[in-house]
Amino acid sequence: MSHLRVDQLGVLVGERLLIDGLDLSVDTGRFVGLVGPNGSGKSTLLKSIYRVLAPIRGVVSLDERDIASFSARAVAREIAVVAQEVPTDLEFTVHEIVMLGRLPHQRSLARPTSADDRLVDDALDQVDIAHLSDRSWQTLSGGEKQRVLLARALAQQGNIIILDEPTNHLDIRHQLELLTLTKSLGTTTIAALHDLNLAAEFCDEVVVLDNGAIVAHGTPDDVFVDDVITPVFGVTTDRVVHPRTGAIRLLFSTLAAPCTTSTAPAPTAPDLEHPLLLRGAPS
Amino acid sequence: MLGDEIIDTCGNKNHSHYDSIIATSTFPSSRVSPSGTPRASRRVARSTGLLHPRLLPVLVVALSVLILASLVVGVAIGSVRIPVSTVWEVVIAQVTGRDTSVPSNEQQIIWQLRVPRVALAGLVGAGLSVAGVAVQALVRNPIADPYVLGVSSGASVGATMVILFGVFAGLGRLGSLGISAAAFITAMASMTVVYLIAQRSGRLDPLRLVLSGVVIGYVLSALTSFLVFQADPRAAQQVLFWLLGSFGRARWSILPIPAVAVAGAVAVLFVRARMLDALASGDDAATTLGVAVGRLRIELFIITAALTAVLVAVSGAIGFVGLVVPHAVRALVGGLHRRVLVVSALLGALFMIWVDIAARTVAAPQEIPVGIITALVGGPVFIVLMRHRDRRLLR
Repeated sequence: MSHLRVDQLGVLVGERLLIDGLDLSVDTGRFVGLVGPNGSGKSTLLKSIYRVLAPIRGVVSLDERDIASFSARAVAREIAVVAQEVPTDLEFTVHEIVMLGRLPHQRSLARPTSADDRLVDDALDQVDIAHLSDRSWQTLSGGEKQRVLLARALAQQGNIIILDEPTNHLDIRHQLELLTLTKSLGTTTIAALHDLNLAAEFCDEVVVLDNGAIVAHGTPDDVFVDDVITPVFGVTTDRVVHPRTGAIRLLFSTLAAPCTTSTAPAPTAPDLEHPLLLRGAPS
Repeated sequence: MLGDEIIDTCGNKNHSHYDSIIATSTFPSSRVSPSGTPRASRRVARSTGLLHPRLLPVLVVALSVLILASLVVGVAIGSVRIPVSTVWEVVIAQVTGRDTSVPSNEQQIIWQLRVPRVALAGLVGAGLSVAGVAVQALVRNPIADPYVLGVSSGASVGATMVILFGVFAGLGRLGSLGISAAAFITAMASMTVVYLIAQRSGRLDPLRLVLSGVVIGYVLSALTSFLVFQADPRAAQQVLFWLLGSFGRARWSILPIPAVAVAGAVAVLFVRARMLDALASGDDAATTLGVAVGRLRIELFIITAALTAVLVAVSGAIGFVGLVVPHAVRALVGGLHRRVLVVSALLGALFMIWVDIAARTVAAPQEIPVGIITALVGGPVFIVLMRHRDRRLLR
């Protein structure tokens, strides 16, 4: 169990204060989605949680203990990360890379034990790449690489998993599988996601970020409404329910798009040529 | 090669199996591992290298035996050829203090000149190779060699000043030791400048490190060239010979410092081997795996720069070994640093002993600078490795 809290966080990147005065609390076992447009501060927030960025103000704490007081190894035993940055030129096999997940648990001169081996094999099994175990990293496809990194995070056995836009390089099947798997672990998960519909389907809670501040935090049902989405993403949405899973689905349209619902009058020819005019003119 | 093919067909077979499982259920919780072996016992997993890690102990023993044999051969070969049996006799006599019938001038050549020389060649070869491994991890760039930190051009300035003008007059009076001392001092100075330029609030950025090393290297090389240009041609040739490297100045008295430097660096790096593995995946990834990246970088910088400075000071700037040996070793044993470090040290030592033998014999009685041979041999080896690696990956 690990309760993660972020209090009054301020993060400076370069000369810009990307996050200022942010508060967030994540309960044990929750799957929390972080959504927001590009540059809204999703990665910055996550990086200050996993200590790649050091905040200039505020505190990130695990079970009421300031994470800045942890050693790098101690943080790595608590938090496992699948980042969007995928290294290209590694002369390691899949097995060797996943074994690196055991690093925070190993003494510097100790060789991996058979328990480490078992955890690595289990992690490979869980993401279904046991058959790639001896393959060289450089021969893998983008999706395979992403799954190797997830397996490494699983082998790390943290109490919290952070996914920093993990679905970027994956095709749709592997996106769904990765999130299904992560969710099935029951581990506290914080995932930065671009796809709002994936967030709606998998997350217990969704946090909407805009300009480094949290503008909404709640269940997908609470958060995915036009009042929240439109000012942040600059789109309008229609909500429908997935006929099989019952999850919320959002249908997006740009603010500029002509309204063509059955009650609206059919646009006239000049309006079609200048669709923006339609918005300006009261109907 | 055969082993590779078996792995490949296994992989393909398993792949179709995997596809059919995926079609029916998303994530099967447990499956038999592809090898079918029980998981309780430690199996030795393959590496990306050509050699199966199971054979690694064999390789280490073989290299060690070859090094010992080459030491003896290296002592026997030279302008005066000495039978191997005589070499043994003198070495055993010196170590045990027993009397020997070998004439004393021959004893002198063997024990005072050739043994330290071959030992120094081995030490420098091992040290430069290990420094190459460390610096490639430090700047996360496979084309880096120990000299990318500007150490060798710094050393050159000091050595040149002593050779040409006898500056550091006190040091100059020490003869060849004075050259080494001056080279070490200026190497450490240039390394400090590179560090100060590259660091930003105490953190070393790999790219800035390479760039400042290269730039400082150019500036100092220009300074060396200017000094040589001012001097008379005979002294200039002496400088050129020093720059290209030689073990001709080896005596027992200068061996302890490089020996301690190489042993110390290998020991520290060996303890950090797993962290170097993590660092290869990137700074952020290494951080999330529990590595204090900032501190590790500074440690690596100090170790490689100081080690390289010591080696350059005693033997000149011998190029290419620190680049080629780590690459060759990775192709052989894969990327895990624990293996790469040990095998690089051994292979580097072996390679350099033979380079020195070639340097003494190819144009005998004249001696060729060692750096010429390392580059002439190392260049083609590097190209073959690179092309072979591409083929391996494309398969």
